[in-house]
Amino acid sequence: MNAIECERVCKRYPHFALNNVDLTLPTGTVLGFVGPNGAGKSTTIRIIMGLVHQDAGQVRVLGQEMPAQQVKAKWDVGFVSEDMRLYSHRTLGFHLKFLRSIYPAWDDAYTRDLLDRFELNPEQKVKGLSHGQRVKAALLTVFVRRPKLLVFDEPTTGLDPVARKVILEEMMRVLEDDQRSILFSSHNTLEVEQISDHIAFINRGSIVASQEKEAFMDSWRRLRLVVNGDFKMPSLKQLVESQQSGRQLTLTVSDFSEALEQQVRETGAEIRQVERLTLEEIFIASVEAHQRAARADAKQADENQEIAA
Amino acid sequence: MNTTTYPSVVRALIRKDLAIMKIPALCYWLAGLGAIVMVMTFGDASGTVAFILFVSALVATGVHAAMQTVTEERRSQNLPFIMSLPITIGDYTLAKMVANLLLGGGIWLFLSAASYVIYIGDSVPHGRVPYMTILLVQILLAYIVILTTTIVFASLVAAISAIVAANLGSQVILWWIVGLHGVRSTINGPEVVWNATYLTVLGLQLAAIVGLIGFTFYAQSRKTQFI
Repeated sequence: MNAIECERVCKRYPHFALNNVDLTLPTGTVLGFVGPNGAGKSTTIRIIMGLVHQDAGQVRVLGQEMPAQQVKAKWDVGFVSEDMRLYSHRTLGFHLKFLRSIYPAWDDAYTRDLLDRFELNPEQKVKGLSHGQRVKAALLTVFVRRPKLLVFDEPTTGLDPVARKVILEEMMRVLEDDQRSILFSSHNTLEVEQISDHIAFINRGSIVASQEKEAFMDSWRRLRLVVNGDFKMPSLKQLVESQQSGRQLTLTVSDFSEALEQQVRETGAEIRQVERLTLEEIFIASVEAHQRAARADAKQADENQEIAA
Repeated sequence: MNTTTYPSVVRALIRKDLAIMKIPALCYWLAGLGAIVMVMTFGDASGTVAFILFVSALVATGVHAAMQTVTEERRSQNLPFIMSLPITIGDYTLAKMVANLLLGGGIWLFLSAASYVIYIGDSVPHGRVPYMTILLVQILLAYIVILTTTIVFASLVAAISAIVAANLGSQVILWWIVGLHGVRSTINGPEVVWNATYLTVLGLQLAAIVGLIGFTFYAQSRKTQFI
């Protein structure tokens, strides 16, 4: 069973639309959900959490239909978002006591252990905590419930790199305890690359790519070529981006294979270097390619409209 | 919307709101008690001051509770924390309604009961008791208007507009009621007279209260976006 299944999910707003989003999180894995600001990450996550109802499409969380069966699903889901705040005039202990009254399987020893690990004082008011401590406190209120599924919507936004590293390390250490499924949304590709098993890119409300991380990253290459003046670029369906400066030509390709390398060699170009890409580079190339395709589609639609008129 | 009920979660949400409002509510209860003590100690001489203190305690409790537990919760971005718990919008609405009615309705009930005790044994003509009842129910109705608006629209502007409209509207309604023949003819009498005018007005007020509470749940159930 998959922890999350989204099938052709749509949500329309006056100035933004989520278009036929397909997203799957296999049980026991970490899905890095990456997209630029305003791409639709939070809307997708809110739909997954039942906080926003989709206009069309199916969403199942831990086997429960959302939003119809959200109560059953949310017993086993922990959610932390960048815009989520605890009650600032209350102590962390107040929040833990509140949660304890809801969750019957509450474990006091585990709570104390987490408080120690996160170096948090339950007597301290939330307003007196630093930003890093507040993020830790929010994560703690989720971890103590031992949910089967964790949904994080940019939880580390606004943290300095050191605090982010510390929190991610603590988070992964806590998550080693059990096999949990995690949806981790971020526009920080570095942290997503560190913790994810699967990757999904979203841009302008559409899923651009969704795949197992290692296979996905392994399928992308940057080829640095030296070409002659009469070089003619072959038509490659895997070509995502090309940049030429004099005789230096750089090709960024997806679905890389030895056959593709051979095809490039046959053009007479000299391959100087074949490089793997970082997730950030893949992400930028994917998003830019998606935007170029969207612009081309829009232009074609305009032209068709003019012809029809 | 899922209708599975988990009473323990709703109870926890109510207890949480009561805990958050504990100190302000205590202060308003003390102010209300002060009004009662003032009337009992100084009699009619303190009437106006005590009445203002009494109404202030009632209004302040209701408004403060609604603003703190609903509007402030949204403004302070606590709502994602609450809505990530195993609850529906209906459960959330039920918890808010009950917590606020316990806070605002509780002090209303206490101070209303105290008013009856004071007035019935006082030199004030007993003919005023039905009008006083209508006045007290009107205060409750105004509070429900504020609470409904605050929960449904969840915005500070809407809440402030409701406070202004409910207060001004109540004054206009009470002024209009006191001019009705059935009220004018009995209000200064020595006996309590529940005539058709009083009963009709009271019936309309209670129907409005029930209708507004029902509307709150209906409007909330129609929402497809809660954060």
